Amino acid sequence: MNDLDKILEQVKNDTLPHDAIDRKFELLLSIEQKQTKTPTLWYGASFALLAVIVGVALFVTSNNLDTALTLVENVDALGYTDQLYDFLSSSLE
Amino acid sequence: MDFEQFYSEHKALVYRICLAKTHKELAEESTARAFVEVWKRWDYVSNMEAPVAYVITIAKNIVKKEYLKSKARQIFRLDTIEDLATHHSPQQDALKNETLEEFWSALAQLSDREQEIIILKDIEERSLEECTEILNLSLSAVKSLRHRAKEKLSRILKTGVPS
Repeated sequence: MNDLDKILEQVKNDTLPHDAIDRKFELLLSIEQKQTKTPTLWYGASFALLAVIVGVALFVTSNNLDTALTLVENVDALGYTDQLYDFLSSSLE
Repeated sequence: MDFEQFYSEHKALVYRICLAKTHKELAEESTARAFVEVWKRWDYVSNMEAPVAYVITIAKNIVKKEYLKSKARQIFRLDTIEDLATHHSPQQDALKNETLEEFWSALAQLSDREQEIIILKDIEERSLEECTEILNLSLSAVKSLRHRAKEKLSRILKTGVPS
């Protein structure tokens, strides 16, 4: 066995910081998971709130379906027109 | 293969490739960050021909970016005196053992490909087929690369210079 092979053998047997890598990986992963979950939760909650406010306000103040749907389309920043349409249609029927 | 298996099988390899380029803490962080990137795109990466090559490339890019950032901080004098004091040469603090320290310093003088073949074949003991896949080279090219890399590494360890 020559010198290089001996050194390579030593390198192979050297302890690696598995725990440190795992800890860093888990920490970064949990941050990443939080970041990807937050928008979904946020949009879900926003939609529910928006639907309730728009639905109740329109139901109380107006029985005019056309006006209601125009308003709904105008506030469709989150892309939920279809769901709101169904909700209001059934509310105003 | 699922992500957990991929992570545990290749984390040491990625860490060692990073360690040939930077210090221990950044090698650990770059390894972890590279695997998080892979985790985010696992559906896509798992169908790749050589997912290991992909994670290695990400890790190397992270190391490179961090190196450039630290250089920029030094140039624009954004580092405090304390920060500069804690900057180490690539493998300075990687290992206390003198022989191992010498080895990593010598390895850092090789090209990317040469470093990778030594780590893949001689440290991680991957098969030649796997080396060809990861390095995207033919079998004969891998063999001659390894031969050249070992010769160069021996020379550096003996004389301190590559040629």
